[in-house]
Amino acid sequence: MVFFKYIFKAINLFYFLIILILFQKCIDPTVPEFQFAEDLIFIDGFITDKPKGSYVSVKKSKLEFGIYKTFPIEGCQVSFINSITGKSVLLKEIEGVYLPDENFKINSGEKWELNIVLPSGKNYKSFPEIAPFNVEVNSAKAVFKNNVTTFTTPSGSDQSISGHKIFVNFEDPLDQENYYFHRFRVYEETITCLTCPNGVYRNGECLVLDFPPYQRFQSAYYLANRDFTYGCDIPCWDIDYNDQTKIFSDEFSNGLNVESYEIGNVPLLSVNPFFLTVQQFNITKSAYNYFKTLKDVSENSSSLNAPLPTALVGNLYNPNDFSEFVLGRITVASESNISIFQNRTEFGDQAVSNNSAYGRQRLDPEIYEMPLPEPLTFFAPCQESRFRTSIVPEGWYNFNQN
Amino acid sequence: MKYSSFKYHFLFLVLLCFSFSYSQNNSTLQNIYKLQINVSNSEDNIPLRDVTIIIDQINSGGITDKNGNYFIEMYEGEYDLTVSYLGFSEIKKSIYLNNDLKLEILMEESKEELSEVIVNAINLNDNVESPQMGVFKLATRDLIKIPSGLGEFDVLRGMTLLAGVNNAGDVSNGISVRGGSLDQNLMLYDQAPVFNPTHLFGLFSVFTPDVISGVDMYQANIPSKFGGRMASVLDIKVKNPYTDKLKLEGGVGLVSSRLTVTTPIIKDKLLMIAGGRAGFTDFLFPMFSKKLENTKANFIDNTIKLLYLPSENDQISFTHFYTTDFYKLDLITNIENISSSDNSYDFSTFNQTLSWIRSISEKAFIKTTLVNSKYSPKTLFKESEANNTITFQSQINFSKINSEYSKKVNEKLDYYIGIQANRYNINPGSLDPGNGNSINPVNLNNEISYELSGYSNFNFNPTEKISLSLGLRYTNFYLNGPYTENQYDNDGLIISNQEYIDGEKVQSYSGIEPRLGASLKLSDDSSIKISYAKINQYIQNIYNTTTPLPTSRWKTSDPFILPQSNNTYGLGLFKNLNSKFEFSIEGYYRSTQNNLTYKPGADFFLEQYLENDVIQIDGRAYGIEFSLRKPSGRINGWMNYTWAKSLLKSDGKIISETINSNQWYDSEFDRPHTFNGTINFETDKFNTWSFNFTAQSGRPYTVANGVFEINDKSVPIFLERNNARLPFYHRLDFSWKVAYNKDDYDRWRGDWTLTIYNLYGAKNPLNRYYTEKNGSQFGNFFGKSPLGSFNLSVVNSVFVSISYNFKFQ
Repeated sequence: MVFFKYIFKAINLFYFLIILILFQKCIDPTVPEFQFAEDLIFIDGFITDKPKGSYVSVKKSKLEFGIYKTFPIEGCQVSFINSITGKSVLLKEIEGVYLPDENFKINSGEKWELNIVLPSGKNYKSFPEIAPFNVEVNSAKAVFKNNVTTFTTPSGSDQSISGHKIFVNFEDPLDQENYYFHRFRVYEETITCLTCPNGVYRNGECLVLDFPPYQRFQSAYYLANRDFTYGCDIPCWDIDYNDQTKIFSDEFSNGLNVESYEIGNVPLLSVNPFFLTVQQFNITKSAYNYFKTLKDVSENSSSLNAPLPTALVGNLYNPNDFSEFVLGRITVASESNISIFQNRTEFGDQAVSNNSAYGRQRLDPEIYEMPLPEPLTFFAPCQESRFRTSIVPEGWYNFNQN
Repeated sequence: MKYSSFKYHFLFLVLLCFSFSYSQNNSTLQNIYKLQINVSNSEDNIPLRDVTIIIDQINSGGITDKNGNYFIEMYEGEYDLTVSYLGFSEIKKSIYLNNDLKLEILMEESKEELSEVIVNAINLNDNVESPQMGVFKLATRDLIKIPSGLGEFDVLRGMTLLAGVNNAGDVSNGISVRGGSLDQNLMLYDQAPVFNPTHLFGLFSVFTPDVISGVDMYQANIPSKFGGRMASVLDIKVKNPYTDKLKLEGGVGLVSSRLTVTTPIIKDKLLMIAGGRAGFTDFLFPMFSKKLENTKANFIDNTIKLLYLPSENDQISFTHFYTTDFYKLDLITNIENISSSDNSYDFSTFNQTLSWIRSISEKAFIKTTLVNSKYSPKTLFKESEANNTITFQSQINFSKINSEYSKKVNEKLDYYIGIQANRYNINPGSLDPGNGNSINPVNLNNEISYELSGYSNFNFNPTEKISLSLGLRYTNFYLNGPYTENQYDNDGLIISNQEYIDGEKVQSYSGIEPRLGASLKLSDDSSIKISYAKINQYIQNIYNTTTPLPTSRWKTSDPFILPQSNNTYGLGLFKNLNSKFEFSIEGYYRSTQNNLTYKPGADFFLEQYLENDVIQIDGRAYGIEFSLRKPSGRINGWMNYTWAKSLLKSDGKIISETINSNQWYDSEFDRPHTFNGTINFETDKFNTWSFNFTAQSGRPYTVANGVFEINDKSVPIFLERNNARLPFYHRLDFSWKVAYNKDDYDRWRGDWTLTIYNLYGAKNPLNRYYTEKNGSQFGNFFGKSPLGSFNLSVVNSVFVSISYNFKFQ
């Protein structure tokens, strides 16, 4: 058949076919562009049914010598108002955050709103929101997986990190629409409380070393590019948080037992055990939409089908000027907690700290033979902060002893 | 083949002998003069080799050389020449040779020697599908010259080189015409609408390349026979298989391979063209980048057209079109509330067109068409911790019946009048949990609607200088149940609802759509044209991304979502220069109402009540298009420059419905400056070199007005939309086609095409986004900026491909 003869001819010619697709990285860094607006006000807060769970932060943007900065606004009058009873709870300012009394908590089904008066006299309110009914988180588990995340090295290359994925189980009630917001805190006991880049810790601060000329050669031998680290003077825990916005709606799972819902991961940066507390918030539909927008603009913006950027407008307004854009949101929520404790010694050979410089557990102490100012120092205090505490996490010993 | 060659050489020798003998006999009587004949193709002026030249009086002749030349010396006298060449019309010419003479002969390609039945059928079809005023036609022979990505001949990429036509970037699920959105274009493939026109997320179009006969684009003066989309109509025509013998054509490439067969099934009665293309080469991706390990990208498209000629006056055709894609990309965001480890996309289009053309007289025809179009996108979610796949599926079932009577009354007047009924049956989505128990099955109500239209159009030439095209279309749109109509309070909460049962009328809209065009001839080669068109659009694609996904939601109008409508005005000057160049300037202004856009936080996935997620806003677009075209000659091509604006404006009363403080802002498709240039060098019959350069203003995008720390994350704050612009887009493409057959009588003809897309490796970002500054990543590149920023490009390097194409006939 003539036809097949020519088909074979074409197949022979196919050997000469080449295709050179020179794929390069399709993502390139670029100088960020902004059109900064000064004096933007951003209000963020939660009103929850757990003591110590409620807070409000009020921030403002400013351009200082062309550099964009945000700072907390101090001196505001901030109060939570029960929209039904009219009860008002005044918040106190502590380190830039406004907090109610430690015992303050609301109940599911109550309607609350926020009232803020700035030092300038400007008034902002939130639309009243009803605290949804609480859905308890039944259980949580940590499951070890390879390549849970990537870590970018200083040279810009991606390094995969193994770690634990965190899953929760809860039973979604059938008779209502439910919206969830998850976050977690991870406590990990640390042995290093301070690192002084190119310097030493003396009198409560890091000092950059400056030697007389005759000692410079000797000091350079010992101290070149050396970051001294200092152990903790008392037991101390690093605190980490989940880095993704985790929201969930029961629109496709109403009334079902939600099993193994992944809320994040804990990378294997060290082999120390970790203690993790999950917070499961029940939020309103409006709050869910707000956090969805927050997630879109901060986490979902890099894909081919990225949602287009949009304003992060929540439930706040200026009662004297309804056309003013008031950024942020006050979320009225009910909360359920659960904690887990996870040993990691069996995964030690895969821990980042064991084979690279990115681990947080490497000690590089001062040594006597080094030409360092007296007295040699080996410990630093455990400074209380959002990311570190010396207060034993509630439940730590219970799990640890088991 | 060899026999033919021998035959002509033998003929040449015989003729030469006769010539020699004749010249010997007359040598003493007259002077000798030189005759030089140069033969070339009238269409492109390319010299024709091996053309047979016979000179009757001397019973002699010869064939032309590779430059198309033939020389002979003859005595003074009168001679009759016959010039013939396969595939071209024979030319007879008489000369009187009394001096040295150089003769230029242009040969015209002839229609194949077809039977009278088929020739009649061709004429019948030509009359019915006569061109309208204001149409931009691109023939296949023009389209195939355009260099395209992956070496694929591509209708949509070809279209983006025309004035006023753009896309959303290197991957774009459609085209934007004169600043309109992608869903404002009606794409017809042999009269059946195509809802997803691209393969592989928008890399190239779905239309089976080898079966396309041409593309007509109406972007200003849209004829009244078309309706339903505001910006343009792209009418892609499938070849009618007028043939007496088997023909094959196709191509082999690493990205895709294709084959088309044209053949009579019953001679002069039933004819067929069947073409297909398939790409299953995603297994090669990991060779180029480890990041593409998880990428899948397979596709198929095929077209079959049957033409039945029951009588001299009847012509019945049936076109089947099927396309399917399957792909999986890491660069696509997961869907919220479905826990999956990866998502795959699987979508298909299944169209059929049945058409009957009846000739009532030589000048009157009735054409009746039945169309069915089914578009079925699917998303497959592989569950993270279970061996289960959750399937999301939606579907559009479109049906159309259309009957049209057309008549050419005399040389000054022709008209058509017709009726059309469309039915949309849209399944907005269903969710199948598979064998898992993590989600419930979901099945949204189907949306069933009807669009009934009557139309007429008169083309009238009252004087030699004036021609008019007057059209009118009347449309009636009905949405029927099942439907739930909610009533909302001021906070947007549902306070009550009304249920409509299956078939119950929910809402109707109607509108009169005048279409006017007028041309005033200023001279033999120049004219001024004006146009006006009003169009209502009852279906739209809803999305809040840079380019719609194949799974993006289609929605017909309802009590909350009003039909879009526009008024378009045009003014143009057209002039032909030296019969070689076509020059035009066209200006347009279009105002639009009820354009759909998304609200902050909108999520359209399986949302029953979309009215809460969208707002409708006004738009306007205007521009001037300069176009220069050289359609023929060895060097041919076109270039155009467009200055244009495309703007939108909200009129919201509350913050969530207010965009950019209710001021006019740039739409996603605003491109103030666009330049396109395409040039083809046809150096000889074996080599064609083509260059295509395109440059245009970057796409508007949104930059942040602030950054705040929220939940330990630095989050960009946006107060406006489209307040900045991506860098200027520019790209140069090149292709070199080598046809290697030396013998024109070969039944098998092949060519190699080398394509270099993005010749100088321009990095044109598709999108730009912010990230958190991650430690020492990228050193101090981001400086004191509170956020990092990245460009996402799809084609950011040189893209080289070679393919082999063949024809057998």
